Amino acid sequence: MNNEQKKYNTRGMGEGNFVVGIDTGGTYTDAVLMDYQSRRVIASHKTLTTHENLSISIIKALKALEIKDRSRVRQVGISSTLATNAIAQGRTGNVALLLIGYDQDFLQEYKLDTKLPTKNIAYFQGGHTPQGIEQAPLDEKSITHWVKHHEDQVDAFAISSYFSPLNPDHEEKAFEIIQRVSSLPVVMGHQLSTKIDSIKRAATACLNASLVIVMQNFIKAVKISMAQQGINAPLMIVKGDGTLMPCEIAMQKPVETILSGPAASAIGGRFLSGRNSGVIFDVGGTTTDIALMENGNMKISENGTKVGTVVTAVKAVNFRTACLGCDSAITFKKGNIVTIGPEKVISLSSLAWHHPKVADEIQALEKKPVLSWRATDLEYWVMSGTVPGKDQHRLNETHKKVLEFLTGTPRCLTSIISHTGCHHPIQLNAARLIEQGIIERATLTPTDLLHSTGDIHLWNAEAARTVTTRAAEMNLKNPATFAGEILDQVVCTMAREVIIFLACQNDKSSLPDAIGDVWGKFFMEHTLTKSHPLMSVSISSRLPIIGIGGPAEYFAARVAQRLNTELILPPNAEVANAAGAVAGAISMEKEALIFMKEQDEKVQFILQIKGLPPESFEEEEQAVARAIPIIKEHAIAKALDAGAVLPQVSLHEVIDASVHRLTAMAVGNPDLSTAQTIKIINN
Amino acid sequence: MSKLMGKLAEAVIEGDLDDVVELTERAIEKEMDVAEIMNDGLLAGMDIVGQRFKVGDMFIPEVLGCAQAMKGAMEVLKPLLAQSDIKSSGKFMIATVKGDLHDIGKNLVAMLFEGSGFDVIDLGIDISVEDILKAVKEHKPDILGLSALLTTTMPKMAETINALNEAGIRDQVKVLVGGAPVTKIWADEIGANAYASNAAAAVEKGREMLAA
Repeated sequence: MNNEQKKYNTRGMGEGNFVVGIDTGGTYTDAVLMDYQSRRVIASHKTLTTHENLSISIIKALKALEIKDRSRVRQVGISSTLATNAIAQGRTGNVALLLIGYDQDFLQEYKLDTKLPTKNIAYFQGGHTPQGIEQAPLDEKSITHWVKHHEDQVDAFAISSYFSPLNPDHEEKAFEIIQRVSSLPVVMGHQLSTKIDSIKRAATACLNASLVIVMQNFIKAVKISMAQQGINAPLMIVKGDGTLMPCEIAMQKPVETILSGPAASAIGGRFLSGRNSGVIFDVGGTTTDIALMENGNMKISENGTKVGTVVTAVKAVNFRTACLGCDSAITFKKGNIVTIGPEKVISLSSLAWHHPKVADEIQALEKKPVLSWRATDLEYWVMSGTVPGKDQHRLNETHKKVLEFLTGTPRCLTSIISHTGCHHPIQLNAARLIEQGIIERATLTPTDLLHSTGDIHLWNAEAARTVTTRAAEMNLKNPATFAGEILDQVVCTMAREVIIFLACQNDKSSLPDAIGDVWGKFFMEHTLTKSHPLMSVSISSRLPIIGIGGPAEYFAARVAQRLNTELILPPNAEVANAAGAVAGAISMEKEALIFMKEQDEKVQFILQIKGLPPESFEEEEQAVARAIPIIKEHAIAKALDAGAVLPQVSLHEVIDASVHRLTAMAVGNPDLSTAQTIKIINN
Repeated sequence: MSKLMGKLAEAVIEGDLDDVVELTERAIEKEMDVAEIMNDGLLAGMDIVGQRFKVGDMFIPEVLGCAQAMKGAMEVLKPLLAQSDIKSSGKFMIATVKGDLHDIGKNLVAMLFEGSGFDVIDLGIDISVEDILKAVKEHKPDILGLSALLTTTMPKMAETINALNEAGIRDQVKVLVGGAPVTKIWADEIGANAYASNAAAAVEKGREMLAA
């Protein structure tokens, strides 16, 4: 059985430029080698992600592509949930946030300080007014003093000053001060966002600062992996809106990569399917992500991306996540209730495939007498991390025994309990070790059920069949229909999520997140289960379902059927995320802000462009006329710099209350043959 | 509706301060419910005033008279209102923006809001963005009404909205704009929650916004 899921397509080995796409951070790390022009996937590979060191799985996946002519690889693209994971798991740096000209009382009065992702906040005098006029001079002395005293307690600094999009002067001055006294990374709010919202800007700056080191280490590791494989090509990273940025920019603005997964899968889905409209339905190990693409455009969330409880000013694709994937734990509860997710575990069939000893033990269950069956027979624990030094003292004797027992091999929970002299799993008191990812659980999952029904063939199918039958018998269910029933429950949940997602797209009155009231539930239930004897209730999606991800075929087909719509399954759907990491365009923006300023009885219009000194005009029209060619030129230069070929520039105009905002956006495909293209442009 | 309430409503429409106060006092003596006096007498009268004003049957000076009369009755009712369980409809703050000295329209709106059971904070005229924000911080209104009668002061409304945006509390305060040169298009452009062309409509919008 070839479980490393290698696929070759020999037809594409002819002319053209190769690109390599990598998707990492989730359950699997996927790599894909593509011919860019023909969109043909030449080779692809899926391997389990090594979360403690992502580069191990990246090297493994790259190697497995067996790229023959490495000099023809023109670009490597990465889509990674690295930043999101780091935030969720608290593995980010410790940031000091300097707020300039913010009203501390006001923040506390409205509980706005709780929206900031750090407790380490210092307030300084300074900041500007809604007309960009200095509201108070910058307290440079206090900043110098404070930074000197806190430098050794943090990993990075973030600065945000009041109304900095209109006048970044105080952020820039504070930046220089910090750079004089410290060598730590410093992030300025206005560099990441010019949204008029001091709280979202501060939150974004703070998150970004906490990720700078994480991202730098990651990119270094990827570059080393590439070098080891003899690949010498520009490295691009996917942003939350699905476009690509060079890794040098990603190191400065790592926050822009948060939630890039759904964008990459959607772009990959579009690229591989050739379809421009549809519901992108991405079934992963932990979650199912739903996004919308209309006429080739991804819908971008206007409200700012949320990470955990923190609302940022980062642009990302508007999507909905259901905490339900193929490796979601299936749990049996009292009253015949089965729940699936939200916890992500290892599938037993996968564990059995990776550990022959586990496979043997599971096979032995066939012969175990019924009377001695235990629920814990169907749960294994795996050691997947080490206890950090500072937490060692928290471990009790039982914990130490468990960890020692797990060293080197997964163990069945039944034997862990007896080894430690306990009677019930609760006595092990291991919830914290599991939460921290030191111990990983392996239980029955949808992946196992799909193996038992013969719908997928990745891991140990025999073990899957045994655990499925055993689970059915233990929970007094009919083994013949058991798998089908639970998978049906998964499909219903997924279909409901798609309905809620689509319903909310065109509704500004903001529907609640869940289906309420009795009638609402009635209609939803009968839409999904089609079980009413007298009526058929149905909801139809006007857009096709584009299935992406490993087991997309099974679930996407059934969800499409429930929603009475077409299913589109692009070729190589299982590696669409990785394809999305190279299929995106390079997009660079340059913004101009124009606003009114009254000083000395005179009305002026100020033109503020990041990186340029402000200019003033008597008429607003003059400022606009001056701004347009400048930002267009800058956007094109930035896009060329980032490696785009022949970027096309478009202009977007928004009135933001008292601020007139002009954005030039230059978009172009990545330049895959650097030398030649530059010649063309020079001509 | 009792005869007395009918008379009270009529007195409000007439804008007869003395009559309104007297009728209100009589209703209190008869131990009528405060809510009944408010709804069936005073507000019923103000509703008709609002409607007539809207269609041009009444003019601002008359409406102001009505609102004054209503205010007089409210003074009488105040001690009872405090005891009763009638809830405030919400907190409404209003200001005429910096550089603008017009206050008739603003006063009318304030009075109608007060008559509709809102707690009203009237900041006055010629109020700077900074002072509006200070007052928002102090009072935490549900709705902020901004009035401008000059095209040259209208930009101050936009500036106030951006000040709320920057403070990070835009989603916690509804902004209602009005005044002769202000239009629905302008209100939408600067991102106000609502626009009202007259005082009666302002109260309607206010109620709608808080109900949503």
